[in-house]
Amino acid sequence: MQLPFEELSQAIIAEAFARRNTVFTLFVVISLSFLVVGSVWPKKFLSSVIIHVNSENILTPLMRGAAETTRPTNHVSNAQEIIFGDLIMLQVIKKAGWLKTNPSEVEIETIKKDILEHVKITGYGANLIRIEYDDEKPMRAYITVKTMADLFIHEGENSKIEESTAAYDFIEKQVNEYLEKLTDVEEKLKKFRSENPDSRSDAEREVSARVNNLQAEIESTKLELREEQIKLESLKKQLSGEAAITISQSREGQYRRKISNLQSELETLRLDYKDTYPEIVRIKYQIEDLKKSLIEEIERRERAKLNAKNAGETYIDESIVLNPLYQQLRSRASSSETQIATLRARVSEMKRMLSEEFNRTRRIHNSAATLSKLTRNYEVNQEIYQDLLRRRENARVSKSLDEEQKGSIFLIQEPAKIPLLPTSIRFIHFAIAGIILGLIIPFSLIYILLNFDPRVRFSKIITKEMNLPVLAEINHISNNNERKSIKVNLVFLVLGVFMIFVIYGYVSWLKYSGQL
Amino acid sequence: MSKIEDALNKAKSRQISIPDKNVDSTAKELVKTNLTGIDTIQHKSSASEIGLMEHGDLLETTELSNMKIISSKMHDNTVANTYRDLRTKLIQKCQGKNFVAMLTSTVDGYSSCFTTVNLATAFAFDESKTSLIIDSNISSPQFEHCLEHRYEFGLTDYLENDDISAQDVIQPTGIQRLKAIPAGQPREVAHEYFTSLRMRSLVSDLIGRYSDRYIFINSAPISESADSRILCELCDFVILVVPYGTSSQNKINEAVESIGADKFAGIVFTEVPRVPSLSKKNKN
Repeated sequence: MQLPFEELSQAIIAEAFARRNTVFTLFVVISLSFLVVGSVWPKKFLSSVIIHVNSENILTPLMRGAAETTRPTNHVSNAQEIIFGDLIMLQVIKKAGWLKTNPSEVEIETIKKDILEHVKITGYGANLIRIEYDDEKPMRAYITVKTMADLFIHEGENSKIEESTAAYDFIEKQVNEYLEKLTDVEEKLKKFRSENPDSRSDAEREVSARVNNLQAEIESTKLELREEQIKLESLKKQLSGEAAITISQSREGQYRRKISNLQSELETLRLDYKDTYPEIVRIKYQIEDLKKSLIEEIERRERAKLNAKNAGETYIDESIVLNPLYQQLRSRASSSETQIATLRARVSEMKRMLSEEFNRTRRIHNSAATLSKLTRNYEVNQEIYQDLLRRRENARVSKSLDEEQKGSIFLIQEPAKIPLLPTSIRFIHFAIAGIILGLIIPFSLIYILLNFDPRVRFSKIITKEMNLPVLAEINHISNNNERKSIKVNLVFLVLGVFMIFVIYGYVSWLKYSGQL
Repeated sequence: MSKIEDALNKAKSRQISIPDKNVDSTAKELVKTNLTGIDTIQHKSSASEIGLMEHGDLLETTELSNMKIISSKMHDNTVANTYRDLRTKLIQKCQGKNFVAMLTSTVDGYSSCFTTVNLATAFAFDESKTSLIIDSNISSPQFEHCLEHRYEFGLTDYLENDDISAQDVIQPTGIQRLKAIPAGQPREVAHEYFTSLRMRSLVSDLIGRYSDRYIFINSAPISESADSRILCELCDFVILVVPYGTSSQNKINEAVESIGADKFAGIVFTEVPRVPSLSKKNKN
């Protein structure tokens, strides 16, 4: 049943008064226990530092493509990794003064664990890291946080520099390696070229031109040879028997022509002179002689011919041989023969040259394969080498960027401070809570009692819930003795409360004067 | 029987010492009552009887207050006023006629006894009324504790001994116009006292004798005592005393059922705690 507040509060007060000793005892117990707890509660001083991590610094866009900036992906876990590492932790322990008592290894481990439990690393947004540490001593909290932040930044920057230096060194090594390779290939190429002069790029063209030339020349030489042979043949024919006949016949003809010439001269002379004329007589004689020589000539020729026929050779008249023309023919024939021999030698020489050229072509093809292999090798190496060279320059810039800390990523946004006030629940909180709870708890218990105790405490319950008439509600009657004892009791209670406050005051004074 | 006779003699010797001034004042009041008391014709006139009532030594307000009994002069009269209101309610309920009321509690203890005494006292405030309280807790008599007086004999003596008259067991309480019949000597063996005719005739005799006498019977918790349920029959109505924070609703319902709807008059919720005002001094 829901009772109006006024009624309920009155009931609570009346009940509390009836149970004042219990209420007071509870108050004393609660407030004093809070006081005790508050006075021994360890103080907690929190110091924190906020570090701004610049992952996208101003240089990044400027240097994009040219230099890679090293960047941590997750700052918080990164920071945890670095800070919680032994390297930093041991220095922190040393600097914060934990080692004054010369702790053993195991104790140091415990201290480390203890510190780790009190360190909190949180990330704010994308770039802020907050390192918190709480300790009983404000100075130690401050030193711990400061050391952690400093070492973290130092480590972070060092690791960045290390990273970029390592990258640079690696690329440098690669560059050197490729340089060596390149030099090697170059050397090989050079050697190959010197060993294979045909390996020039225009050699093949040259060779083919030369082959063409040679072939053309061979053709023309062959033609010339043929011509010369024909010429020789005809010369030989001329020099043969038939030719001698022709020649001898032509000697007969000479005779005849001389006879006819003398005849005609005789005729002419006869016209003017008588036959007795000397001149005519001489001519007649001459003719006679000539006719005789002509017959002789024919006879001799027939004889020679017969002899030649018998001997099976061309008969050449001596007169013919001695003939200048014949001589001329013979010299021509012999010169023609010489010419033929020369031409033949030329052709065969040119053929040799041609075959040599063909061989050369074959050689050129072979060496071209090797050359292209070497060249390809060289080109690839060169390409990589140049790329690496460019990269090395980028790495060099990155390295010097990191070294100069221009692209610095760590900035202390909020430096560590020496905490002046403890962050944990302080003595005053306990003291106030003690008094307040000392009051609230007993009254709450009474409230609970009133609400949950099945025994009837309100006449309204009888009238409203049970529908029974209540004739009267009679207050407790207290007599003089009771009143007296209440008075005495109250005096004691007031004194008790006063004592509590005195104790509170005293403990607070001790606490704030630093004696506790 | 010598013990009883001794007690009777002792009581008589106490009755003799009635101060005269009391007789005078009651005589005057009796005249007033006579003038106004029209409805008391069929009964014996109580005026003279009341005037002659023996009160023994009257108790001082301080003493009463220490005994937690109300008085018209007590320093904090809220409780007295509550009882006065209750008195008015009961008189209205009975339309002015006198009655026999039984008070029983849901729990053991003296709460019903104190309520009985105080309610009777409230009736006795009125000079035209007298009240009689009867203690029916035979196994553990309560009046001696509440009235801080040792009674030598009482109800059980009367019921067991035909020689003792009702007048012999009615004893003074030290409160004006309030008499008491104590339970008498505690009896180990339970007799069927209240079913006896003698008990029945006692009650009817007591109520019938004076029209302005109100009888209040303090009985043991009704749900635990068969005697109390028997006594219900003899009463006009029953008032259930429920002390603060002692009884669950079930217990109250149980008690109400035991009383029966026709006799049940209502509940008096007592012992409600409050912060006493300590500054006020007793008027005495």
